[in-house]
Amino acid sequence: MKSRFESIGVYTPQRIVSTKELMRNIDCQLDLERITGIKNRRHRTISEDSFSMALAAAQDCLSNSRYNACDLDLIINTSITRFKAPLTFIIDPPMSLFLKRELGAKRSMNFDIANACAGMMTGAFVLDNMIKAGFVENGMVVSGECITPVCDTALLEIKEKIDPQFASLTVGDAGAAFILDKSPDANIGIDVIELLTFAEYADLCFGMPSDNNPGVAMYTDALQIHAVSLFKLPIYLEKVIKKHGLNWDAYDYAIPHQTAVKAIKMGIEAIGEHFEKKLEEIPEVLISVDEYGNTASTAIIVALYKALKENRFKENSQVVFIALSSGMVLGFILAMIGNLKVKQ
Amino acid sequence: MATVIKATSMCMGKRVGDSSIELAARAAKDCIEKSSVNMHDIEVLINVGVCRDKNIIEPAMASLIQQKVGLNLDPTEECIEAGKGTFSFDVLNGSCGFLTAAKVVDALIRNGRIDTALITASDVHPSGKQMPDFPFTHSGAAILMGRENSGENGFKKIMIETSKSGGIGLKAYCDVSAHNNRARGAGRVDVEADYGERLQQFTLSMISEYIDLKVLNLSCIKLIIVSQPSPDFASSLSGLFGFDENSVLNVYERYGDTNSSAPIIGYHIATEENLIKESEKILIISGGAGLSAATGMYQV
Repeated sequence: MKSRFESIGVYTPQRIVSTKELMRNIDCQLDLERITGIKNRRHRTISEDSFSMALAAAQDCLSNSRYNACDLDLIINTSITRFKAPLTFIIDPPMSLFLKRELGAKRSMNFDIANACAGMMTGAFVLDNMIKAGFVENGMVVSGECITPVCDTALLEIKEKIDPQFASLTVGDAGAAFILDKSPDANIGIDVIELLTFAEYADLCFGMPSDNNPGVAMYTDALQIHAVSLFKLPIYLEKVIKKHGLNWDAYDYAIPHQTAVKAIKMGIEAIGEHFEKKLEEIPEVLISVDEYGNTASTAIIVALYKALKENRFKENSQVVFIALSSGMVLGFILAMIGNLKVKQ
Repeated sequence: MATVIKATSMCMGKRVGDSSIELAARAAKDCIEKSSVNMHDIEVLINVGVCRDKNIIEPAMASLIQQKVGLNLDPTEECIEAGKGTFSFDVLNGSCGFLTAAKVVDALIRNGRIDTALITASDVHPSGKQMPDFPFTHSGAAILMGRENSGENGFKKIMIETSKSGGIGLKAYCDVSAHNNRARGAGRVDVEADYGERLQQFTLSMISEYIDLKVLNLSCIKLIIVSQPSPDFASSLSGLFGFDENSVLNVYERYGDTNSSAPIIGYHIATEENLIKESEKILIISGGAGLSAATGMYQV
């Protein structure tokens, strides 16, 4: 039995902030748009927060679903940033409790998962197994990332081009959600989930309050993270394909975690080189980072949603989702996406 | 086939200079050493600690604990091919975190996805100091769980409930913008005046519901291990549902409120002091903010 992506939803704030506009606020000669390929990102209003964006995404997901909130058996919130406006970090109870109450998911169990940008993929891993074990029939994984406050801090604190807060300039705010349930079709659904934590590299990226200003910051050794992932992802993918007897040529799309356009391109080229495939033989890569920035744990679902909205996605497509996050977490979800639609 | 407990350990804080990561990692190393499990066979590490050192929002505390323990830090190509590697993440459900993670591990084991998992817990104030208005005793704990292919042992149904209305009872938070540049060491826990009473009533109603499921025969329960949100929470269960006071393990008297670690510490004490023997049945009960309550029967 497989679980499948039954529906998805996304929320992005209205306010578009271009990279050009952002870089006018920083006293540093850096062509961020050229280096990252990020043209725009969305910034929340001051009254929006992780909760409101997660809630909006959950409601959008339900509007695309055959389920109502009261049908849900489990809600897992995977936000990195569990902020209530303006910037209060809620430690307990878990944010999923508040989401459950607001949605009216009366019979749903709830908990949060924290696993950096791999949060939603981790949520899929847990929910897929809860469904297969018969503990629940369905569930929602939801995330709201109020992450641009790290960018606000970076604009105040970055002094040089090489700065651990550089990656903070690439983030954007968003909420995302998906519902998994038992697939009625033996072909459609999640075939494989493989995720590992390479904890040797657990200290390459930290998100925490700033020790210079009243805000939250993100400190990243971006070069090292990039180097580790370029080296390890192709080898790990090869082992996953071999372990599960998969046919790599059958995959239509690849949706990696959205860090930067150039980084994604280099990652895909590294995979192509490892498998001795030309670029046109590799699954088509879907991106959203150019328009939305790195939306943290929501990024992969934002990219999927964008492709569905643009009608770029064939029914019954085989997709490989590529997880990459601080921890470091690397891994893959391989699935056949059936007739997944979002409202136009 | 069952999900069973292989080993437990605990680690109390020193009151100053404590760290949630350090306490969890020390408990984890001790737990692994005491067991017959090869640490490289641990496939999943779940951390259920509520508090986070320096209010770190990423990476997962579990990955930092994994790093501290030295658990499959950088699997080589050969290790990955042989299935040796650990996936770590945090499961956050307050003082019901352990039973929630146990439910997740049970699902993974039943599906044949994994054979061995480590659950860690710890709560230290983000400043590292035992602050006077911080209700949780600095503590950490770890529990190794694994597959047992035959027998009646292991976890039976785990139930987790939240109240449908009313206040959340307890809120732990950090207003990052209110501490100038010192928010890394800041954190507050606000407790509503009627939290203890309401939580007690809510937990009792959950236990009634669990009994109605007929998962357990109450007269067979040898020991009840309870989370410790107040001094009289454990003793309040005595006399109810036929539980006598000797069958309720009161960890609060020894350690105060150990929050996410409480169920593991309770089980650890029970085994260290020979309060439970193989094939005996215990009931684990947790309650906390939300309001939330969880319970599960375990056959030793």
